[in-house]
Amino acid sequence: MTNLIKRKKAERRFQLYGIFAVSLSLLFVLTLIVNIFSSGVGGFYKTSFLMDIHFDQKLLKLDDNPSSEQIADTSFRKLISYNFKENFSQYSKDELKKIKKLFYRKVDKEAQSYLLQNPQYLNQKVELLFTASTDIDQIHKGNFNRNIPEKQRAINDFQLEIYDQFIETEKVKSVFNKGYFTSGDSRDPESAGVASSVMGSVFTILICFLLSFPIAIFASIYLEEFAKPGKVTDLIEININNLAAVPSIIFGLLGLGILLNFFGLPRSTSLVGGMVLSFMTLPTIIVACRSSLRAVPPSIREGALALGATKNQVVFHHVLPLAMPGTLTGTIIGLARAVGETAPLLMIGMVAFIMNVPGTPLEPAVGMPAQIYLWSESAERGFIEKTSSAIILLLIFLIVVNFVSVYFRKKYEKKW
Amino acid sequence: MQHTDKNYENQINSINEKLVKMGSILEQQFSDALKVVASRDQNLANTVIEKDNLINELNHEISDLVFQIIAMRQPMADDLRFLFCSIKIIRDLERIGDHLTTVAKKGYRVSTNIPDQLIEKLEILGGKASVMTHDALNCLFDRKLADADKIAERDNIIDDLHGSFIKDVLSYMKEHDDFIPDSLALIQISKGIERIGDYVTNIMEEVHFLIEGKYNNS
Amino acid sequence: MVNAITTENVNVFYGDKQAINNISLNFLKNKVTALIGPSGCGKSTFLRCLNRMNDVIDICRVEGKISINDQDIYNDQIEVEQLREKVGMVFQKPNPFPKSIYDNVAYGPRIHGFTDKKNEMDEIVATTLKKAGLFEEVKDRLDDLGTSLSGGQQQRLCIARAIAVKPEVILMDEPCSALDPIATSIIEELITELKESYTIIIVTHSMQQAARVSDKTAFFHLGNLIEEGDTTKIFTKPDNQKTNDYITGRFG
Repeated sequence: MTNLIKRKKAERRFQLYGIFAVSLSLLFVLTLIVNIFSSGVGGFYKTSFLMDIHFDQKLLKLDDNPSSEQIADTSFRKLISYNFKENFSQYSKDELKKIKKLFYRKVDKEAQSYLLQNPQYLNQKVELLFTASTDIDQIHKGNFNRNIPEKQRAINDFQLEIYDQFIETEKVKSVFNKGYFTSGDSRDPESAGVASSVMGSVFTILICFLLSFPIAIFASIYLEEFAKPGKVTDLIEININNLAAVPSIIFGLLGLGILLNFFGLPRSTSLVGGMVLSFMTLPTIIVACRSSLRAVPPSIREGALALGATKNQVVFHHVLPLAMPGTLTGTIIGLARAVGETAPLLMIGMVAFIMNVPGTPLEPAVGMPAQIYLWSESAERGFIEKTSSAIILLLIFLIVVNFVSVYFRKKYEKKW
Repeated sequence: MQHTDKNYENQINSINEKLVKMGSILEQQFSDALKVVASRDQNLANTVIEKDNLINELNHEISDLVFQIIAMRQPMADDLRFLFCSIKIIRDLERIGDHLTTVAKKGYRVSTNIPDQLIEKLEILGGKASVMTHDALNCLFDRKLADADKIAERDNIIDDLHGSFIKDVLSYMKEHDDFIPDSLALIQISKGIERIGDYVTNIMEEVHFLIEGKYNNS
Repeated sequence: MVNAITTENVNVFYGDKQAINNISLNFLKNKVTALIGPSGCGKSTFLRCLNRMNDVIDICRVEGKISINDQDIYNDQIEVEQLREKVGMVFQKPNPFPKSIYDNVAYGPRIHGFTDKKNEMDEIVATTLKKAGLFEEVKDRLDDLGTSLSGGQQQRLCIARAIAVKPEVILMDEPCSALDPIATSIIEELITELKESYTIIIVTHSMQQAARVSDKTAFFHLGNLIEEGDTTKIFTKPDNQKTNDYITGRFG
């Protein structure tokens, strides 16, 4: 009887260890998430100032009812200078300069895009939102302590005064940073966005999936169902299994040497990135697919064969659908790894400064992990926040990839 | 070769043993019954009458066992034929036993002033029937059909002997009025023995089925 | 009495090991023939030769002549898929496809191109399920998974699947060994009905089943055909002592 009590006690202890371990890891995960979210969620908002702007036709040198091209061609600098003088007439030239520095330096471009979208503003005086500069943006979000000595800040006391005035007169707004999602990389934290890296990652993963998934399945089917057992098949098998353990940067070298140098494919594109990642993902999917194929009971194959199905029909009508859940699991694992892979993409050049959002896989691109790395290297304080925001997006991206795969897996899962 | 299931093997063997026992008691009964006819020994007659109960008991025991095996074992082939024939054979053996009891009962009551020739003839008849029974039982227990035809012929001989004995008794009866009760007894004894011959013939038919899997049509 | 299948001097080898020794055995049309014998005697191996299911085993080599309608089925000219359309098989453990009941039955006719039209296929499925004695039980749920049925129903579904392609012969490898007694007797009853239209060859471990269901019985032992004949004869008075000893449980 005491033996039973001992065993039960031991089990209880084991359970407690497990609960403790799980709680500890949950705590870490929670800390990580809270940390990232608190530092990154701000990146989805930008501080903006409300300012009156008079779209004086003469200052813009525009005709009546100007076309979009005309608006796009003309310079808005004079207009902005004039409006600043008008709005802050009580200040000196020097002070005006400092006030201007509170705003994002591309104020004129913002005014231009307003007019392009709203041509009716011509000759109107409108109160519009203009992006604040990154330094004041960080202070407003509380990421930067304004209470340190002036010499250590980028924003001086006078600018802080103006800023406080703006707050009192309710001219400071935190708006949703749409540009973060629509623009590519930029030297200015104010206008830097993840669009180019998201599209880069999407194209890369898409190419990776479209290449590796079918090739892996057909390879697995060949090896499992059609290959005659022998030395050659064994050799292939060993090599595939070993490939799964090769460091990913080797695949980058492979891409560099063969795809870029030998085949002359365009450098830095998602196409090549996808191809390199597919080399890497292939073995993972093949291993998963093969073991799923093997797990299909021979009774299903026999049943189909006995009805007069050809070998191909047996494989494609019966065995493969049953092997799908396992294969998709392997695919999820492979793709999840690929999303986060950076080293092989570095080798083929997918780590550049990409301003334009790639529209096709043949344009230069950068992946999300690489983009995060680039931003984390930057000295500007504004990029710290952007880096965390990008990490949040990457995590969401990963979750989406997972859910899509799990959905497909559940769809194919049948009881047998 | 033995059945893999030892219990089954034991059950079949048990039936066989009981049949053998039944046979040997029967043979003893036969010789005792004939002795009763020769010696008019009442004690011996009572012994024969008593012993018939044993035969009846064995009949029921074997019957029960066979029934059980059929229900529980789904017997096939030689086992099936053996069980099927056993049921019929024990019926015949039991009837032979009954007739021997009759022989004993009538035998000791027959008066002592019956002519010896008649008794002798009866003894010969009885003796032949007894040998026939013995040989038939051997065929059953040895599962051999040797001399099977001859056994059938012997029944004809017994029928003939019985026929001629009846004639003798009747002619003796005509001359001796007071002989009627004894004559009847003698006729009954002879009839009983003749019937035993018929039953032994039945048994031989079953033995044929047991060994050949079909009845002898000839 | 016509032979549906004739076999002559069949020898089967697994590598160097001989599994079937020179067996010649014929199967009468529209009769049920049972193959009995102890484990490892080769009856399943022999059965699988009749629809060339042994082809999938690389080391298995079949010699001898096996003919259906006077055509040697091991001839190079024969398409094995067409052979299997003519000679169907039902397995020991019911193995319906993890598809709907409808699709299970329709699969064979589909791959052999019986019809494109849905209503004709519906007709085929309904008729087949009726022949297999399953229609009444599943007519309202043809879209349910075949694997959601009970064991006995699954086996009847497998039988339906096999007869949907209109075979001439149905091979059954211990079809009832995984089923309870009631399901077993339903299938045995079905076999008795089916023999009107098909020739049936059934491998069974149960002597009682062979006795109940078959017209002819063949006894196999260590790869040899020991005796074959009318079922009644085999089970009441077999010619061979070995047959007798196996049937009465003296070995096996």
